[in-house]
Amino acid sequence: MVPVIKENDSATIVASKKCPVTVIVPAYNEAGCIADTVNSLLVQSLLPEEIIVIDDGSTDNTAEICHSLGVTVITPPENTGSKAGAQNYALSHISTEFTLAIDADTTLKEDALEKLFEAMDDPEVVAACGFVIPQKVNTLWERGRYVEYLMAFTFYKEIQEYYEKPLISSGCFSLFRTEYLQQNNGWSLRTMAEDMDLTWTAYQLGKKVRFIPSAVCYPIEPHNFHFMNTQLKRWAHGFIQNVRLHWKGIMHVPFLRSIVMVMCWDASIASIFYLTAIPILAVMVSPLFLLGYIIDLPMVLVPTLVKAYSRGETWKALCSIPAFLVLRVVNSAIFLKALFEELVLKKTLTTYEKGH
Amino acid sequence: MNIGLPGAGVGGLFYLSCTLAMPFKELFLTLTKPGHKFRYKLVATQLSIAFGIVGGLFLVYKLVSGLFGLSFSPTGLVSGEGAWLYSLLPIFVSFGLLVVILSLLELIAFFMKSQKKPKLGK
Repeated sequence: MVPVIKENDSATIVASKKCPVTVIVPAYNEAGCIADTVNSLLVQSLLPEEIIVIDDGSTDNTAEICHSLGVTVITPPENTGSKAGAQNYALSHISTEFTLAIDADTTLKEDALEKLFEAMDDPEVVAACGFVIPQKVNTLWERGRYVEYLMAFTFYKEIQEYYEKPLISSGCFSLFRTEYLQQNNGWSLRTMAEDMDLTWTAYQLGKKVRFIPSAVCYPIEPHNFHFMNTQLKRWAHGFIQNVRLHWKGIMHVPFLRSIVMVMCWDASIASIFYLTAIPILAVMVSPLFLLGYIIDLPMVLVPTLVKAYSRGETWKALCSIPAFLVLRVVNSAIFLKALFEELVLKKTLTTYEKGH
Repeated sequence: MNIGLPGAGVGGLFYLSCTLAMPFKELFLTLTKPGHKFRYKLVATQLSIAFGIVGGLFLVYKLVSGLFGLSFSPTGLVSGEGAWLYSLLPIFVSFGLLVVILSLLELIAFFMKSQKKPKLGK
């Protein structure tokens, strides 16, 4: 059982327990949202021992806001250039058994840390992640992402968890065993998806990663095409880079190799069909072939509505479905472009660009 | 983090198949693993979603057939009585494709098993 320290004098403390967790929050010009993130950490039902904000060369008042909230702020000598870089900088400042990595624009449900912490009872578990739901659902892109997350975290990720191989311990909110992070020299900079790299590395070492659906976090998702494009580009390149880096290793990990394989197929071959064959058939044979774009709707609708109903958001989810269909097309196109750049042009994405 | 085409394709079928296998795996674990308790709630929830999806897909196909008197088939659009049967063909074709992909993968994994495990990330 992971130790939990009980606080006797809790008159001024919202929660009554503390756990051996250090929270690290990499931040670059996050003045607009960092206060919400820190405040959500301060009211957790299970309090972390320390909260460290890595002010990665912000030009706004991110650091001042954090100081005023009473959390530790550390500043690298110069901008580290990536989220992973900032997290690695903080690693040497951590003395607790566990490390919670959370994005500066991500808030938590009050019991999220407590729920996630329970996964660490198993000493073989080195990382645990939770359910992700967008904080704001207004624009087309946020709505598309909202449906995508409801569907994926309700259906796909639950199945991955059941078969003990969640594909990824999400970068926006994950709890790690600090020892595991230190053994791996923290978050690797060799790919654009360091969270995927860390997860797949864990499986190859025979360690476990858990998905805890009751631990909920709320990140701010890209609100316009520019930021969405930046994020999807990084994810697509990151995925391809991880497959190239780990493919021999993950061939020794049952179920994970199957998930990755079907994902590769759907993202490449199915995307080509989706973006070329359907429109061509619609023009050459019959416009009814355009129905191919919506014929699999139950696959999206059912898990999305199951979760949305339980959250009292059925109408919001239904209204957001068209946005998901748009996002899916964009997602496919960006992946194919990334595939072409990485494999044909040998143009590897190496620059981290902030995209929420 | 979803890559490419979430929802459609063999990926969807893969997860559906995994869900349908859950009660059997659960039963196996209950019978063979001491202390393991059948996770009814989890299995029932996921199975309900899976059956909901299958039922939904069937309804969509019926709707398309009813509205246009047409069904999709791998060879194009067909019409007439019994045409809805053709609508099941894409599902069988996709499922066959999934089986082929996964079988090939397992074959490669089997041959790689005899090789030395690679160093991490190499």
